[in-house]
Amino acid sequence: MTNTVLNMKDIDKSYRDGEAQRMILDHVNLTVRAGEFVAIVGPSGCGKSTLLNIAGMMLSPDSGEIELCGQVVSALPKKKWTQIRREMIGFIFQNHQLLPYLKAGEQLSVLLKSDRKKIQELFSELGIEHLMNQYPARMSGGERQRVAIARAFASDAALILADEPTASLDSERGHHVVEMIQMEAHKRNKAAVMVTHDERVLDLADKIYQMEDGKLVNSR
Amino acid sequence: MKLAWKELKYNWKKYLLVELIVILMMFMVLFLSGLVKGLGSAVSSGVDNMQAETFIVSEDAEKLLTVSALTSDEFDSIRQVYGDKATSIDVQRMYIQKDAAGDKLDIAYFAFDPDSFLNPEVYSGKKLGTEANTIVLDDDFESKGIQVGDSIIDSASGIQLKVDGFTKNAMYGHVSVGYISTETYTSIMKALNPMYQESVHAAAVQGAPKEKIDGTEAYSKAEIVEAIPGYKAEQMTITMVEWLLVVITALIIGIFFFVINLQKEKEFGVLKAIGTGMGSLVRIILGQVFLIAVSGALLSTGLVALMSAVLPATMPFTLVGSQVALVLAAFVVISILGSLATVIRVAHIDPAQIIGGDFQ
Repeated sequence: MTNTVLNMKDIDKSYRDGEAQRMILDHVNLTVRAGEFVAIVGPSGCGKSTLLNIAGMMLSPDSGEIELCGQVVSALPKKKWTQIRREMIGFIFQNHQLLPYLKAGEQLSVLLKSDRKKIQELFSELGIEHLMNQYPARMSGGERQRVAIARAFASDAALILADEPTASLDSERGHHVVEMIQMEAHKRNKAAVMVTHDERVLDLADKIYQMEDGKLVNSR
Repeated sequence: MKLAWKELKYNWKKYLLVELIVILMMFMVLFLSGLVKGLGSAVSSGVDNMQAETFIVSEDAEKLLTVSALTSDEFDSIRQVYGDKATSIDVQRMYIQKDAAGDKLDIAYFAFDPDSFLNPEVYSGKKLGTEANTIVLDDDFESKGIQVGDSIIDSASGIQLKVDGFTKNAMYGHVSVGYISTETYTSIMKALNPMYQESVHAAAVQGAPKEKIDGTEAYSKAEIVEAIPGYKAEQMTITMVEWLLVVITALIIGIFFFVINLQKEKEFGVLKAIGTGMGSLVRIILGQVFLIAVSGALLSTGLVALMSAVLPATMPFTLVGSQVALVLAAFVVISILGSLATVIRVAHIDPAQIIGGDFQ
């Protein structure tokens, strides 16, 4: 549990807000190790999604450095980013974001070229084997989010990023879904970062950071 | 590619509608294509089907067989240069009647020596012989109730002509052709005008033109066909409409795909976020367009082929394989070019918008 997967150093990001420059991220530092499940909480608009975008190689910081598995990726040209996202990062989005035209199993096999065995294994761990040949439209919200979790863990990504995974779920299901993320992160020894404003699921996180006014504060 | 196909299958209702529109539009395009060729052959097939490559007309004839007149000196020099490879041809528009009380029917007489290479094959009856006052007709006359063995009347001279046989695709300037011997032609002309001087309109030559003969001009078959009154105007107009339709249909596909893919911006964002490269996305989009365009093209070709089989013979409709292939290929290419607008749009989708909403 010692190897660092994600290391963000001194990240700054500001946006133009009308006339003024608004500092969204103010010298943010974040380190996540393999097998660690980190939660970032904060009011909406506090910058936690921006942080997640930067960690997910979809947005560049104004300054600062990002290391993924020991490699400084923030210096790489944008063209390489897609490849890094594909190979090193698994995403769990708000509202699942499954492709409506793929069956649950195909979300993994067609998109990520995962092999059957791995899909079977993940689906049974997440309790969704019976959904293998179902289209997302015929699943419940919780089921869809679990397929999305399977998709995030199906690649050999070292880092899992979850953006408000409980957003469209009631508290019981939300809690269950986050349990799944925690379980997979621990079992597969992956670094997981979850951004949420849902305080009811924080008991599952190994570490909790509070984000306020662009600053990240360790609260547990 | 797998993704492209799965999406088509899942949203098949939406894409079927697009496909239907493509099929109907392409059907129209191919129908016009058939009409271009059909009308073209209604004007020129009589000349097209002559076993000659070159026509020699008088210099002042403006490439028109009907206007040209060669003196016997000129024709003799032509015969000297080309020998048996040249023969005389007279083209004259007249009227015939089935019987004395019958309606007048337009006819274009093609008169030549029945022993020459111009004598066309027949599909019923027998070929034109040297017997006087016999005629071989275009099959269009058959559909007007004239049969082999009937005698028809040349309206102007009143001379009776015995129908020896029927041939196909013999039209000149929208008028069906009747083949007669030069002798028969001369007797008709003499009946009309006792002062008629024997002369020929033009000479048909097998092979390329050789030396120039004074007072005459040699033209290729294509040049002679283009000069037939109405040919160029018709061909240009319909061909323009046809190609306009090809472009419009291709653009419609492009626009449809643009709109359909606008609705999928979020999906493209997700695909990009989880690391799908732009190359794969381009393949998905173009693959779908290609599939829709090609299948639409093939299905419409089938439809048109079916329809041409049931069209009446009097309808000027001819499908030419190479022409159809050209139109279809152009259509597919323009469709793909049109869908590049979608590709550019998708290229600009920012995957970051999928996560959160701190900004925007």
